[in-house]
Amino acid sequence: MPGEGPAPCLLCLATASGLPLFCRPPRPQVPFSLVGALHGVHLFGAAAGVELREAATPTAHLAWGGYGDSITLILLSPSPAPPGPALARTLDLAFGAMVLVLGLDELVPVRNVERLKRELRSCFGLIDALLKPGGGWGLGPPCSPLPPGTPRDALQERLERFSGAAHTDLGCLFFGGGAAGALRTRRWGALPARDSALLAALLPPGGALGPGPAARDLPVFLPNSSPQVPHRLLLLELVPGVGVALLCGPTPSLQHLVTQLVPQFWGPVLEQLRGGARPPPPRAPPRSYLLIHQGRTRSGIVKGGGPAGSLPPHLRADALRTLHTLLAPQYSPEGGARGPPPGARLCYTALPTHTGCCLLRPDLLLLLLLPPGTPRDPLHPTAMSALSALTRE
Amino acid sequence: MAERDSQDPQDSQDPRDSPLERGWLLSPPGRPYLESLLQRNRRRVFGLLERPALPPPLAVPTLPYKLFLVGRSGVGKSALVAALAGTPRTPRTAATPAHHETLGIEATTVFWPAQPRGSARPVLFQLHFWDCGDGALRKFEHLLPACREELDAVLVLFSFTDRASFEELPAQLSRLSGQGLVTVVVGTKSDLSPHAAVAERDVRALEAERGLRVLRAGAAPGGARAGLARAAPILDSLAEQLWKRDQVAAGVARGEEGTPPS
Repeated sequence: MPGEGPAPCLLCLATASGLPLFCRPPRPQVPFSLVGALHGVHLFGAAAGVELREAATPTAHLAWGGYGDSITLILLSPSPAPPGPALARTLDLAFGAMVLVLGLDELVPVRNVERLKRELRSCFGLIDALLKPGGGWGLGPPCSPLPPGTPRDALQERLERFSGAAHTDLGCLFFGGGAAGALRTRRWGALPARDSALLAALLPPGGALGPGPAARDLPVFLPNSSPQVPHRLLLLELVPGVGVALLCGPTPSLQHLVTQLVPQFWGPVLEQLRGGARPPPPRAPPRSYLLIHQGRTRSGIVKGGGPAGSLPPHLRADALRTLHTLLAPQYSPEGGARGPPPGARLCYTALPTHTGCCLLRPDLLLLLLLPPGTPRDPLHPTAMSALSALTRE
Repeated sequence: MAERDSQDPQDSQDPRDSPLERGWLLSPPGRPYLESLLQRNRRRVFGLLERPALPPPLAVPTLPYKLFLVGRSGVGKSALVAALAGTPRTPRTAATPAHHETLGIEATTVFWPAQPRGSARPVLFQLHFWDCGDGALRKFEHLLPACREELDAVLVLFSFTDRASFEELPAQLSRLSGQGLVTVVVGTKSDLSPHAAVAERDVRALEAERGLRVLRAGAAPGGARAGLARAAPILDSLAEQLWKRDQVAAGVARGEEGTPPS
């Protein structure tokens, strides 16, 4: 029975005919009668002029998303699931992944259902990575800042020149398993959040594409920026753990890049790149804070900040993630949202196992885990002292 | 790659005819070069800027080659490249699908040291395997010319479990042959003999008709060194054919001097 397993289940249907296009994960299989009922209730609402978005049952959370009157996505998530906008965001990212690989023209309108079913199989890697528990793209793998001693400015300048030689202004140099520890050209940093989240999901290592090839040339359609015109996403692994991503037009060819441009621009800084490569961070290390500042995300343990309470280390990551998912879409400065409402400085959640505290500022967001039962008054000074300890590093 | 018996055409040619010493890398003289391919007992993954680390007395010239894999969707192109490169593949579980289509071009680099017969020093073959998903090739016109640019060899793959892929071979071979291009046919999934849809005699008939050798590849579990031992015959064969082609093009065929290129 779907919804009782640990992973959410995503269904995709053609809206007009109700024909199922795919179901990830394929096992356990969702009975067709259930698929039909879920689709039917969505159509019933639409006929009455109502858009059905979410429903909660004792065993599951359901979310619907309709795209262009052509594709319907239904998400079945075991409860308790992340509340609020997380489900809608997952649906959005799943549709974005479909557009990324196939292009909007293939999906809206659906012309040939059988052909579309075959072509959608290419998206399964991305969608499986999205649905993996704890693997959602909202937070991504634990991100670390650039290691000390990395000559950031020199590498940034080299990245700009390399992108220019490749006839593009969209480039990104990524380090060690997290797009946040990355150098970007200005235009890459200005990409809409959904596009950059999808691109970040593809970056090796730990991306949805898997290890192995040192160079890749993928045609992608950016869902927000250019859903109908493909770009070439070039992923070049310079040393294990450090690579360059470029979004290019028809030139230069991958052969030219690999044989000429990469050795010319990145050969001289090989040692510095090696210094920047680091093994992927261990899964769910103990963390007590999460800081989002200037587009970079950092997490870790505040030195001298006291214990995080009775939460065991492996649950802290989830607690932080839940808190982030709850608050980021509304308050995060980089979430493309309105920003913190004027006058708001701090918000907190008090739970039996921990207290989560979130410091809001126009340019940053700091999430802290504190022992349960922390009184309200010291929250703000605690958060401020943690922040100063972190920014001093 | 499964062990094959003595009827394997890969062994049928007299080893003394080969311009490169077969199995040299796994023998004692090749040991320091073999060690440079491994890291902590696993195959080392090299980035675009990296080479196997060899001490200066053992330094050898590097010969880069580009090889393009061609074959129907699902025939095992990406799997073959992963096996030759020694890249770990996700273990197949009930949740992981058996086949993920490659989204675009994937270029993997495999370093293969080899010892030319009669030469003092070995050479290092830098083999770039280019693999592109069949669906993507058909949908996007720029991918095929990109794969064919500066190409040295084509690997045409068919699967022993897919009859249609075998029957497409003549068309593929005539479409892709070009001046100076080494063509190699590889049959994948050779270990799934109960499910084989292509019989041995069909393969031998093709070999006789076209005058080429069909290499075989099949999956089998094992660690890094075992995987390398299984990949060695295929890589040796590829290196040998590329070496021969270059020798003929340079006018220096084995044992003959001053022969004009044909």
